[in-house]
Amino acid sequence: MNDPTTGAVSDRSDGQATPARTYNDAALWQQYAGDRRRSVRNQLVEANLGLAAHIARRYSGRGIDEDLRQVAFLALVKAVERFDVSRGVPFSAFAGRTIEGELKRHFRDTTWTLRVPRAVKERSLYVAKLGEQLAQQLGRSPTVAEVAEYLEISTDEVVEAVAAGGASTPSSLDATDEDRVPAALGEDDAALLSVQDAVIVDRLIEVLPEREQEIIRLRYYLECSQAEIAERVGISQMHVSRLLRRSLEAMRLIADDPADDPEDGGRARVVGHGEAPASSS
Amino acid sequence: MSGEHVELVIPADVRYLSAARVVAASLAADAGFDLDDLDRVRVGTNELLTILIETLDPEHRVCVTFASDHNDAGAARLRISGDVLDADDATPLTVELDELAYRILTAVTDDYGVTASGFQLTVSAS
Repeated sequence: MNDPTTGAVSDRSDGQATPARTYNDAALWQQYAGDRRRSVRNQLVEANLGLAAHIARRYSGRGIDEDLRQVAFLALVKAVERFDVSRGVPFSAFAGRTIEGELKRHFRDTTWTLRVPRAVKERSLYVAKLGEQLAQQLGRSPTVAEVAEYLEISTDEVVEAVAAGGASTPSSLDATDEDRVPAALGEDDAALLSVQDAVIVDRLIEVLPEREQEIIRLRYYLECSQAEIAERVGISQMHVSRLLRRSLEAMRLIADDPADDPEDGGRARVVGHGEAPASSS
Repeated sequence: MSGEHVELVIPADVRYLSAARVVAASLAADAGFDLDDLDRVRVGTNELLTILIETLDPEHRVCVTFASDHNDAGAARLRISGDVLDADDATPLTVELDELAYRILTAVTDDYGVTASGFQLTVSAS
């Protein structure tokens, strides 16, 4: 099995991943770090498309899901743009972690699980807390680069977090751990909807706005990819992803509230379009 | 761009991309975008601004304008445009989008456009 943390794999049309050269052209990375040219960025992305496809395939179960390929592709682009060659970490390791993180988040957002909103202020709390810790360790205020390296996020994100910390909507100090800690309450297995679930889900869908109803049906009944839905509905693929997530959340909230349905107080289950592996690391 | 907006004038140099990204992300955060949507704003801005800057000489300047409002569905929306200041006859007439740029921009924006004299993109929170 190819290990994405040690090398790239080629993306063969027959779906079989085969070892390929590890793309570790330090000179190209140095060049990109210096001039940030898109042509160089594109070379680096294209050289690592196989890595992204390989990881997406691991999350796809049978076949390759076009949505997952898209998520992995964008994660790869972000990884290339954020990679710091001077840290001495192989790109494949850095990118593998980034891509897996985005895929897991994609599953979390598009399957029937509780999703805790990721707010900017949440990150600003981490950054503020870490800033204090690092200041104590270093005997001085840490630089943005130091905080970014420690948290494994970009310097942009640190700057944003600092800015968000001073925004007009302060974080609530009364938030409970439950508000902050992600928890999976549902099942995201790939089982088919039971008849009972299907009836419940049909009723839940009807509470959604018309466009969201159409998107849910296209995605889960007709099994269209997000890109196909985007084209049919006339919005971006990422927007489709957001609407799907929001719709599922809305449906879950209603399904979880027994007051809404005394007879069918149990939670309905909507399955995602793929099955996250039990162990993906 | 009419209405309330923010303008940032930067030299046509990739060193200033982060300034534009940070302003875009800051305004998106202020408009209520979550981190995923905020990432879309940052990626889209970076892509189009880089494409534009690479067609220009360093002595050119680009005015990036940011404006937030709401779309028809009531969701927060950020509209960002870039205009080349002091454009001259030497400015290339066309901008070719490569496949990667097309894939990225299609995925992260509601709509976008780029010419040799500027760009625009729209991202809505969802």
